[in-house]
Amino acid sequence: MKKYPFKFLDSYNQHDTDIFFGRDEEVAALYEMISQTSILLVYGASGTGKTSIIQCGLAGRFKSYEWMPLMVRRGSNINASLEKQLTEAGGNEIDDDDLLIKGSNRKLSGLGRLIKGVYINNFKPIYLIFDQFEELYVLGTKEEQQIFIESIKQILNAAQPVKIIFSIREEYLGHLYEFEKAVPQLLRKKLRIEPMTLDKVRDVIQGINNFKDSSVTIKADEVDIITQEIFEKIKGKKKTLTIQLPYLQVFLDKLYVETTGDESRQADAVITTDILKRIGDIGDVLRNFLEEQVKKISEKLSAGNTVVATETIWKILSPFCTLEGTKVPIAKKELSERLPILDISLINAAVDNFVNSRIVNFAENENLYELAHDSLALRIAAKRSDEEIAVLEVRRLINSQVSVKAAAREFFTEKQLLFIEPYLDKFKISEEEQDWITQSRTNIDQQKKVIQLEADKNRQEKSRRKKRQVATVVIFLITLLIFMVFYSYNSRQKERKAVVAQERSVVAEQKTKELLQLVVNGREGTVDSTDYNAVVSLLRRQQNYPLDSLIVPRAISLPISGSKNYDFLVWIDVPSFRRDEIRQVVYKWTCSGFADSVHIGREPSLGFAFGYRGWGYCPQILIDVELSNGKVYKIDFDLGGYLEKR
Amino acid sequence: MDTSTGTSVNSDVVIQNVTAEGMQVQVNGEIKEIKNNLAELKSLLQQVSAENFKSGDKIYNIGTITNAVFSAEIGKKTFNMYLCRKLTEALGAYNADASDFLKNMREADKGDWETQVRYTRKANRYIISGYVGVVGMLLQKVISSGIDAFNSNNAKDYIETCIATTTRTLQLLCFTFISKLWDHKKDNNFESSRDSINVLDNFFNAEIELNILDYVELLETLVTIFDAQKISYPFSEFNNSCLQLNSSFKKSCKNLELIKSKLDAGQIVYATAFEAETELTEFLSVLSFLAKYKMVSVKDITYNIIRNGEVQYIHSYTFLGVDSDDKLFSSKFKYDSRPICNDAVFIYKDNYLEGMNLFPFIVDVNALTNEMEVKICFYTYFEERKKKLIYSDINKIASDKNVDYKDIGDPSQVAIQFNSEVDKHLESDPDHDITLLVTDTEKFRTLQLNVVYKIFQLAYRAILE
Repeated sequence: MKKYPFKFLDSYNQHDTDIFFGRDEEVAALYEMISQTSILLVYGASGTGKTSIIQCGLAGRFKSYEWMPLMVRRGSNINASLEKQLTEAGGNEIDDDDLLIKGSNRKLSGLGRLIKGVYINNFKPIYLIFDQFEELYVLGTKEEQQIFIESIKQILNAAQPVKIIFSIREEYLGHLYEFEKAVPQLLRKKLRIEPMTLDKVRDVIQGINNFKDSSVTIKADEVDIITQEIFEKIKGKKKTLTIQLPYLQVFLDKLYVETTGDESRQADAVITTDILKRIGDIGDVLRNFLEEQVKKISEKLSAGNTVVATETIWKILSPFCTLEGTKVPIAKKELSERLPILDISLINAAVDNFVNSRIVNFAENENLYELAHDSLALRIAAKRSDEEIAVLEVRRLINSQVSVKAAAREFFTEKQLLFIEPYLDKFKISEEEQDWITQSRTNIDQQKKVIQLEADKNRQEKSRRKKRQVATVVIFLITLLIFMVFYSYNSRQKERKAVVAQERSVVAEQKTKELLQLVVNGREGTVDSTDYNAVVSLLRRQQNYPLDSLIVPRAISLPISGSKNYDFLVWIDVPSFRRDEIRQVVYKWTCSGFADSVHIGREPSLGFAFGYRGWGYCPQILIDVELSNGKVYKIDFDLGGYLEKR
Repeated sequence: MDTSTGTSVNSDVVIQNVTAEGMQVQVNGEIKEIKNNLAELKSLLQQVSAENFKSGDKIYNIGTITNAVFSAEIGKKTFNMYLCRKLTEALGAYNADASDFLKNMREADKGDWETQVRYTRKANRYIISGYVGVVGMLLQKVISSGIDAFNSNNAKDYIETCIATTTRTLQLLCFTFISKLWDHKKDNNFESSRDSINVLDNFFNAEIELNILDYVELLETLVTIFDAQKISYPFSEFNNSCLQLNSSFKKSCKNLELIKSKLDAGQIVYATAFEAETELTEFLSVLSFLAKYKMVSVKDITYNIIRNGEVQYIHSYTFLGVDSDDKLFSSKFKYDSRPICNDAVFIYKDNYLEGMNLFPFIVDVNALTNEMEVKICFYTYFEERKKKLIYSDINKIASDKNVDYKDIGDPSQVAIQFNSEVDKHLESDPDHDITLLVTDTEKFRTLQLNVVYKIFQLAYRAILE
């Protein structure tokens, strides 16, 4: 019986070792590495064939008794899936008595016990293979991730005969940061799966030709040119030296169908360059494939007057991938919940057709349907309407919020609710999700009420505060007014007083001046008494100068009418305010003929003057000014000269 | 072996309703209940004077039917039952836990406990963890392939594991004797007989893997040398009577080699697997003293010297085999005042420091190349022209000869090729500065593997020259 050697979009598995070509080096490296470590990470870009290398390549290296591979996909929850796999492999088929073995010290529970159960049922080392591990980060919650990390730690600590392989798309390696912190050996041993190079493609083509039971062969003398052409058509205009394995498979499948026209893939075929020329590049092949299948399914499901539009088929395909265009496993039940407006029988029929046309695979163990490859997911995502995108975003928002455990969950904000609520009738949500939305709405309403109450309170408070402020201002103004009045009154009073004071001052000044004039006037020739400043300056000088510099002798002779005699008066001119420094002034005649040659003036107010009546005078007299402190100033007074001048 | 006959039944004996524990035998219309074993059936047929009996659509002769055929075709027994019972009993003499297990089971179950999963699960674990290191690991494969073989109706893998277990166990015995002989020759020079030298030379210079009988011959030769030179056996419990001409041990080895020939020729039938199980069981029962031994692989040895203090060596080693917690290869670290050979693989009774170093006949390739985990490999043959030693990965059993490994290489074999270029680097530097070698991962790996080759040559010269 001949075997069809292409897998289309499916991964290779342990039954395909005879048709799995071109990956010997990676398989050998993987086998070598897994013998060197208990945790191995296999990573690479989407479509490099990670799953095939593990499920087919590695599996081909082990005999059935050498390993117990348990493939774990996330499903709806990776922790539940892991437990389910271990249980199904016989993990629970042991009792406490089985664990009680003399010499064994370890007490086991949880996953450790399940693993022990699997082991003692078949005595094989267990290989836990977490395929498409990125799903934990694309679809899983933080809590799910955390529990999983703890589970792995628990498995490693249980010291059971178990090895773990993680297969992950390389763009998600960064997501393993927390995991690596908890399990440091996670990234110690890792293998990168490279995309298909031209040489590897040649190995595949050669392998098909060398496989004696293959239903397909490549024209022997055209192997090189066909290899090159296929590589170029899949590579397209991209400047790359590699292509994706699923694209190669899809392309080869397309070549076969183009050659034979046999959709059942039973007929034998020889692929030639002529056939190859009739096919476009991989983009066309994939696009056409999907478009064709969707069209076929829509026609098939349309019956009588019922028309199932291609848009409806695209809509049913939509939940099979994420917003970003990554495939998501989904159960029929969930699918119908996601599409409440569509009839459930239509959805079921469409899904069955998806499986038949190999767009979707069915995982019987998990009862989940999944797109055959991410390359299809990207095309389906590109077909979505704005509304579908919005619905997906809403779903994601609800999921991300509700998946957090209740204690740590946050209510939706009003903005989020406004985004969510218009789409709620577009898909079915769980009771928990609905409950959380209702609670969020209630919470927002309550918040609003609280805010309203607060606002009212604030308003009242504000009003009260305003009144208080007005009253304060009024009081202040009144006070100010009173103060102003008082101030004004005071000012006027002060002004008035000032005017009075000024007037008084003027009067006083006037009087002072008059007085000073009077003072100065009595001092002949000293200063112009009308010049107030000169008078003050003079007075300041007279106040401070030595007294002898200020004493000036003075004399006057006045004729007496009808007589030849004169009245003579001699005195000293000295500032009135310093006269008290003088005790007496002694006038001495220096010539004879006078009855008294010495005269004393003692009266300060009279300038210590002395007078006499007679016909003549002594032209030269000596004046002794005796001071109160005992000092004597002597002045030689030219009386004759003086009187003549006058 | 086809034991069905075309003769008529002299007494109407028909077997029906076979279960793991028992079967109904209809004798002339009367139904009798007997246990599901050949001895009881023989006894019953003797009582009713019958020679033939019918099971399904086949007629068998009770005088010619073997245990294997009975188990496979009439008793519909699963594999491992015989092995499980016999090896646990054999183990009981050396392993207190196994002995207690047998003593403490219900009296009523003692006759056929191997048919009850609740007993076999435990017994299998005693066997796997009880038999010395690598033998326990191989028995794990035997047991798991037995479970698979019964479920898949494909006995090929089971036969392969039985043969591999026999071969590796014989290798282990021979390697231990050779290692002790090498140690002895360091201080005692003597000449061996030409025949002995030929056999030893055939071991060191084997161009293909020796078969079971070759290893039996090698073991006989070694025992002869030990006896002649009055060297104590490395296993004090080893009784050389097992090597006498018609001993059950030698018979089992011979039969297992025959089964291997059948396997290589693609002539096996389902019953052959039961034969293999029986022969392996007989073979290992003789060697049950191996339960007293353990094995470790020394991963690394470092030391601490505190100023003015004593040196403390840190031994990092891995327990080879499956421990009582079912953990394969548990790693250990230990302080000791004594150093040990690094990269050594020891077989020992109580203290590995006093054990026998089996390096370079058994090597841990992962320890040599600084990898985690353990990869125990047994010396298999020598490609002298290429300066290449071929080892067999204990964890990987060679498949049948029909598989063509030319593209990917036989995954069960590890080649250690001497690299003279790297070795020259080492020798040319008088200061032994190996920084450049150590920092080049690939060169360092080669350097380490060169050591295996060089030590192998030393052993060869010490023993044969």
